[in-house]
Amino acid sequence: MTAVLALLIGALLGTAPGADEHLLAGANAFREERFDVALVEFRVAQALGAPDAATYAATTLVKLGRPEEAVESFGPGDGPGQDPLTDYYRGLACYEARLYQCADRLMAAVGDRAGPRIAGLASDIRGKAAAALAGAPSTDTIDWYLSRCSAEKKAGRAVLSAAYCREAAGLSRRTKG
Amino acid sequence: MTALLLALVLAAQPSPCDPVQPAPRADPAAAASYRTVGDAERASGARDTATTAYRLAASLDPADPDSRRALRELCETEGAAAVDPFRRGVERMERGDLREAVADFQAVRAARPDAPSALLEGVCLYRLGDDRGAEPAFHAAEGDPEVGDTARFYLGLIALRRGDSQQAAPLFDGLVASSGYGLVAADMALIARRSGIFTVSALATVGWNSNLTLAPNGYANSGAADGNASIAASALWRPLGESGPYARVSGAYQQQFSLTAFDSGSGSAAVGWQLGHADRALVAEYAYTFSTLGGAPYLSSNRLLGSGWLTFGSFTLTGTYLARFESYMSVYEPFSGIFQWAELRGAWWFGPFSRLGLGYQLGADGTNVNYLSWIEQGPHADFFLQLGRSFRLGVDGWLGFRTFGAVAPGPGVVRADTYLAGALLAEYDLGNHWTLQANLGARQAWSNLPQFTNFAFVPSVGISYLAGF
Repeated sequence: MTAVLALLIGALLGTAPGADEHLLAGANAFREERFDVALVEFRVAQALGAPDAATYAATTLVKLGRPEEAVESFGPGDGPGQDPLTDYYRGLACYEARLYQCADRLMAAVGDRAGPRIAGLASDIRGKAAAALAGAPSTDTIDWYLSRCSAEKKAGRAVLSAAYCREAAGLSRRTKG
Repeated sequence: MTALLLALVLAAQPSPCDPVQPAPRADPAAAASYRTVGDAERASGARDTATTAYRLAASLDPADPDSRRALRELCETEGAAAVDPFRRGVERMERGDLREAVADFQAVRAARPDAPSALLEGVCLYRLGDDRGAEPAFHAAEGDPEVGDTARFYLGLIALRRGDSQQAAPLFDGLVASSGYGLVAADMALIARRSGIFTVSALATVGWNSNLTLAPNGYANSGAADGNASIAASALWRPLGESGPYARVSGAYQQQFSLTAFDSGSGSAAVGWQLGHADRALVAEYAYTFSTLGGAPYLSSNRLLGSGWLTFGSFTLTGTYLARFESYMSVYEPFSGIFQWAELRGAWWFGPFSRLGLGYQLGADGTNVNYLSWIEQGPHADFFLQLGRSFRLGVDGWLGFRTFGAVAPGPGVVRADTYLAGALLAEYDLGNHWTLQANLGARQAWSNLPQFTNFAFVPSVGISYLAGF
């Protein structure tokens, strides 16, 4: 958590005017584990133009147990980024949203870059994702991901919709392969 | 634990009904930003974060009617929100409505992954005896840092129930370092290594009996005391684990140092069925035992036993009945008949490391000769205390009042005895399978016939071995 805070505080340097106090308030609330307050502050900072606020809001959404919204808030694509800790939380969001292939990709990229504790947690998630992905996926499973893809698209959550579609495509390849 | 979880849930949620304190400096622009976030959160169904945002908005702009109206509406619907499935599940769980609670926790998890709900769903199913249903729920919770340890503890208990000590022991080992489960987990790991589908046990003791021949008090009884060495072993097979059929064989032999007429041996075989687990179960068992005394055949018996227990929180009520059809041999043949015994016992746990048991026993021995028959009744108490990881103490006391069935030919009166017996047991574990034991037993008998009033002091030390596979 201190690493997350360091990132947040570091990000303040490049923040839009007016948004910095909300980012800071969000970081303080996050440290105090008042995640509802942290999310509100990060959302306000995001609305005021803070470039990374959406990522911090997404991390907070993971903490609040809202993984689907977190996936949406992390933004498009599911490849690893520069920051391993963000990758970890993004991978966790994917895992909890049942996007196991996405989770596996991101957790694999975390590796040892975020220290031994996060590496251990990432390894645990990879193990669980591997267990969930063991065996050939059934048609019902793939259909479920496709239906989520369609439903999220209709709900206007394009990033989450695309993530479910990618998961379905990946599972489909596993069936054929 | 559930009360703690509920408290955490309640404490974590801001109430839209609480008064809003104005901020030291009004900031309508910032308030508008918070209100926008509140609207978005409310639209997505996130009531708590919406409340937080509206409260911040109302605090920064006391004149803002929209945030206050939104808070008022959220407040008015709080009654409905109070019946959210998780809260309702916890309340039902605490009332003992476990099946209904399971449905509530499943409803929470259907909407989103939720480790506390998964844990409590598993606990309810475990208490209902549905281990197969509980296991996936605990797996869903075991990765959570807050409730993962508890989930793994229950997974260990489930493995133990089905006799899978190979899986149970590592799960408990992994919790020994946990602040919440350390000592209990160490105990459970030990139990796991001593239980399983197939268990074997053996006990070797050396002891002394101050009055082996039951010489009456006041008589010269220097020849009544004797030392002994004994060995006993048993094997238990439970192919389906704790709940299901089982078979047991056992044997014991005690060699007296001097009074070899009292050397005793026995061999026994039993089959039975346990329906249920440690919290509630019914047991039915048949056992055959053959005994020798002084190297000669002594007793052949067939025993039927029924037992059942129910647990209510930290209290367990147990009822047991047995009937033994006894065929004594040679000079003991008049003692043959049917022996019956029953006990109703309540046991209270005071935390995980101490237990008090109180019971009442009733026994009846219907022999072939009516003046040897008797009826006996009296209270029984026992106390168990775990001191540290490896040391246990037990105290046991029993008072019995026995009345015989008819006037004995010699004395011309109906014999009536009173017994008081007590024992102090200490055990020290030497690793996973070996245990040192020391036992101090004493028994006083009073009788209206002086020749049956006697006292015996029976200390012993021994070592036992218990392993599960």
